[in-house]
Amino acid sequence: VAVDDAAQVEDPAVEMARSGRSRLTPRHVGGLARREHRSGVALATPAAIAVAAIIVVPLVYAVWLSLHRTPLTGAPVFAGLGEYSQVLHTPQFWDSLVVTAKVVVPTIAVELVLGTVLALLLHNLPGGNVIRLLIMVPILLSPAIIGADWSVMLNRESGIVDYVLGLAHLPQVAFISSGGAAVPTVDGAYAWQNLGFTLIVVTAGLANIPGELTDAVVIDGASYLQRLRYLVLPMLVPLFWIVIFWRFVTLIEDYGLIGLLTGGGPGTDTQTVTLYIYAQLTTGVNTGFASAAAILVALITVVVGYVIARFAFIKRPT
Amino acid sequence: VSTAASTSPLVTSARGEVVRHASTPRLGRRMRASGRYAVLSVFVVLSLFPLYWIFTSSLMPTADVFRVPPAWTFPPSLVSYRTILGMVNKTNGGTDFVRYAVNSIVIAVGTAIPSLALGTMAAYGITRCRVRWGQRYLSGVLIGRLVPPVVLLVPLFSIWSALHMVDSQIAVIVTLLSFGLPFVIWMMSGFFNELPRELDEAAMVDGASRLTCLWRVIVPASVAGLTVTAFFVLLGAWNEYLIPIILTQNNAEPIAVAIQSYVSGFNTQWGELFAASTLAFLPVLVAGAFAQRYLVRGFTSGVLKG
Repeated sequence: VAVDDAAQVEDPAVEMARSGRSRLTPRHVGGLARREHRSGVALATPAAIAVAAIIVVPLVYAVWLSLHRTPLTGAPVFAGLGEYSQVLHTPQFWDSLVVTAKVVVPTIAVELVLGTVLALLLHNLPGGNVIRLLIMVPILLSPAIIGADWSVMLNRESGIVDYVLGLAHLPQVAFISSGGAAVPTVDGAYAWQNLGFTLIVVTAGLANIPGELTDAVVIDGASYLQRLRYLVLPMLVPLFWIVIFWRFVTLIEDYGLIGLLTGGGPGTDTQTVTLYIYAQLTTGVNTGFASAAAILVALITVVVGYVIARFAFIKRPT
Repeated sequence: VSTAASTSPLVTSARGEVVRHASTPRLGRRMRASGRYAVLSVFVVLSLFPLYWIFTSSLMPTADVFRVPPAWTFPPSLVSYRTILGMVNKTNGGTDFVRYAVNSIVIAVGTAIPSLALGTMAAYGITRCRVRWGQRYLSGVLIGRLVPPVVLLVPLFSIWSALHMVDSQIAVIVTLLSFGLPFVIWMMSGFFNELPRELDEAAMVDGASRLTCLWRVIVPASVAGLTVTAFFVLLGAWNEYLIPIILTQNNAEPIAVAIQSYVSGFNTQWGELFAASTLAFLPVLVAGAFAQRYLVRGFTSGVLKG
């Protein structure tokens, strides 16, 4: 389809006008661009309407709810920012933010480091494609089902994991029933399931590093570690941000894996903000309070997520 | 090539390209490779052993799953599968797994088709038609996706209740478009940016409309990207838990939600849980096996190159 001389053509209308194949004047060219713009708008509108209807409408409703106190009986009463101040004075809300950080930050760090190391080990390795696919299998599975299954396998009394640890004469751990171990266990379960994501992204990044670049530094006598430090890792940084972005979004909002693995327990040791809001919604009586907490979390997520996205997608052309 | 290796640290092909770095002795390289295989096989075992154990446990009656030490060899039994597939009656714990599976399929496919159709159109429109606010459109969609779904639960439930559509597949599908559409728009605009503009310009000069051009020229040129994107939209909807847990009660319940009925309550049915897990994982693994050759290739272009 691509014709040689079409390669230099930037705008077919301009080119046509210049070559005299058509009698388009610049005014007509402007009209064409306008028509282009209009067909672009027409194509992009249905999705925009759908996203607005499904996200913005409920979001506005959630904001409205957060500004009202819901008594046990009767209609909601306007409370201004009263519910917000109540949320900010609730220690459990702050605790859930801390738990969320303890889940999100170490999990992403472990996934990034291990995923990158695995991608480097697999790079150009015979049979690497098969190994990569095998390591990526868990990422395909339902987080909720994985959470339920791990809760059985990590059971202190009957679980397979403590049994294997016992066989190996290693200390057995009450993974999900002891306060100290629960958060690292959740982090581990997330990392176990999602290692393949970093792996595939970094693999893609390695494949996109031009071979001439690697050859050039090899000829310059760079060692493997030097190549890694000064060439490969810097080129992977934008991809690291993509991993951080996507994992931040999906970890914050996850309810399935953590909900069925620990349910926030023991006590509230693993209660992330999503579990906290969910508990407020289902067991609490005041939807205003729950909605205010939810809106605060949405604000934090959108701001942090957007900042990360600026790093991740900064070069995106349109 | 072999003579070059003995004199120069670099092995070059006939065209002068560096083929491999030959300064490392072959034996050392082979040892290093076996070290790599050793580390990698640990990770393969870590990734797959739990799944193997889930599968074998699904072939044991619940009582045996609990046994310490675990039974490594046992006569396989399909009793858990018979129970969840409703081949025993409800009082003995039989469930409508087939109905849950149908719901999961309907929800996954129902979410994927409109997400791909509308999302691809939008991605094409903003990457190809010189839309002035294309960047802002993408940012807006991204911000929409950033709102955690837990924030929207109460409003969504109220809205679908008012429409008398709670516990319908449609409600879940429409709600899940809020995940599917932003994902498709971002993925596909990445892939479309990779395609040369001459492709659609040639078609347009031939008098094709934008929509024809998208369908006849651009879509066939982005099969790899579309496959990856479709795969992950299907996967996300198949695995989704939070939205259906709120919007379904029994009729429209998908597998991911139904699974909790095996672990909650006083009588935890481990065998049934693992049998249901296995059945829920199987279609995903089969689909993954078919899509796998597109996965890495799809990821190497598109959004990651951004």
